[in-house]
Amino acid sequence: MHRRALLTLGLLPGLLFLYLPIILLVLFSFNDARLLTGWAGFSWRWYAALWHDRALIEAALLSLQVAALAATGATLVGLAAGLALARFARFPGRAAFTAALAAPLVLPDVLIGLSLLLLFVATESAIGWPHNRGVATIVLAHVTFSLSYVAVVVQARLADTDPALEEAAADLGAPPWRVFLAVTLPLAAPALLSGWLLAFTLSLDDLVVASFVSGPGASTLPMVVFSSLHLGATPELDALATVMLAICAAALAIAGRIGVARRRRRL
Amino acid sequence: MGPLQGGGLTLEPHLRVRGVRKHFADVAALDGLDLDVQRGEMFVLVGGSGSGKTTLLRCIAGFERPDDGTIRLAGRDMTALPPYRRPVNTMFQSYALFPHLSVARNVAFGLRGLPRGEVEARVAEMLGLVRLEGYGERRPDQLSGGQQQRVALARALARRPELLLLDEPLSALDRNLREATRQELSALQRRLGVTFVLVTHDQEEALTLATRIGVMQAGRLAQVGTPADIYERPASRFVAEFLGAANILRGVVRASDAGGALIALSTGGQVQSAMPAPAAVGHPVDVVLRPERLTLVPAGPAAQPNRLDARVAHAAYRGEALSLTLHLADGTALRVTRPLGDGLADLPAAGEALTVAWSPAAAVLLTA
Repeated sequence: MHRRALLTLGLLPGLLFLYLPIILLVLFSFNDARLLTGWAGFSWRWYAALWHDRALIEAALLSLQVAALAATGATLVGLAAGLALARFARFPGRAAFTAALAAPLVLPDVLIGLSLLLLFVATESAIGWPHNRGVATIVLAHVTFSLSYVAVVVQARLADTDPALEEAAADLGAPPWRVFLAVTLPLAAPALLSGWLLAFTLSLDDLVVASFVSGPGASTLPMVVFSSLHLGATPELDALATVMLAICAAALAIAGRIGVARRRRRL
Repeated sequence: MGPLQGGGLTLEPHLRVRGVRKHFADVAALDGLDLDVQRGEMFVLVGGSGSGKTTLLRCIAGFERPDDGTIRLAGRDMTALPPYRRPVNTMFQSYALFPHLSVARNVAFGLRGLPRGEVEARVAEMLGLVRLEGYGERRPDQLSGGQQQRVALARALARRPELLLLDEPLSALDRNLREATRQELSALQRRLGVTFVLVTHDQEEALTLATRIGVMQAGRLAQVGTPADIYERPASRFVAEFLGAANILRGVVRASDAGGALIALSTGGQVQSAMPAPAAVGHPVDVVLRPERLTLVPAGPAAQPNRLDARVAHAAYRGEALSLTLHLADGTALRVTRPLGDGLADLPAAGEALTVAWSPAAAVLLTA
């Protein structure tokens, strides 16, 4: 009993520190007042306003599209990089490759964004591409920094698997492409899924890099939200955030269910 | 087909390894190794860690490319073939069962290209062979270690390979299971007639399983022969000490002819051996005496050959036998194993004086 009281006493402030802002945000999304000053009664009005706000909805759809494309690209390139690190113990430039791959994990977003902007400006004047910065440049930028995360996850997963599995497949007559498809890929699948989700979320909440490399036509959700703060935050943004929170929670729950079901089947 | 084949009789050995070299960095794992294995043999490779036995297996499977030399199987040069083109299958030490596939699909993995009905029939046949009927739909992680070992064997045999390589196939099993599995493996090999090359560090496994044993040392074969050959007539001190326990005493040749030799031991006493000395009169030789070939006799006239006076330094009860460490007059240790007869009544005490004796056939002579 004593231990339990102590545990609660220790956990409560920590949990409040983490979740109080989110709880407030959800509460105020149902507040029937424009200002964040006090409680004026329950209301769905901000959700209705959100539903009619074309700009915000378009930004959200654009963000989802960018995130899906970027996550897929990052997963493909990250898989290749992770494979190289996990399965080839020695190749010229391995140390440099490892360092270069890890760099985006620690580089500030401002630096990544600025350097990519400079690159895109340079390639535009050299080969005429990209003519307009927008979805394509944001996706490329997001692939650039999130592939490192995928590579790390894939490498960790493959390092944990028995290299004899791939040799066994070759021994049983599988040429390299079949070894990859029938053994390596299924073994890496959980890492690819979590890598994809990681890249998806990284893209979805990136403001800094996207602001650098985007053009006039393409504004992602974080960009729109951030710029609308200048006009004053309305509870409509709270409503938007609550909707996204609900979607994330649902996705997590489904992913968790699938994981549990798989583990059950194994027993 | 090779030029030596005719009338169903292949003169070339089934597996022929010639002059194979393999270096890792600057370490020679294989140093110009030659090996012939006949069709249907159970050939066992033994050797310490780093002796190159696993590297040799990997070269035959195709996972390593030799720096030099050739590997021929069933009359074909395989040296440059990738693993997936070789009629060779491997049973891995870790079993390497695909965790995401069922037992049946693991066994069927190597059967791509066969008609579906034939694949199913072959999988059923293989699972029957290893007594795992009805386990086809299980996942590997739902099986015990012994069952996983049998799936690995079934999977490796499913393609009907010309040669099956087994890398420490029994090392992951516990002791009781290992003995039973060893007998099954041996029976299966004889029944199928498939050529096996098996690597092990377990000397008992090597002696009981092998039709022939190859003892590896520093990337070469130190000796190749039947288990009895290698145990009874080791070609070197290394082989004598590697397979079985051995007492090795230094001596000088006094006389030698085709019928035997007389050796004067440096510890005192004489050895009468049934084999001719491998060195000229007056030159040094090593005398190998296996602990279980030594008997304890009542103290008698000391000057007789093949008798040494000793004192018990240590006696250990091992259940089925007694292990004694004796000290000769000059302190040289001698190990003696003696089966236990009617119990512990005759357990010698430390310090007790005894005489050790052996027959001329028990004394093996090696060049020192």
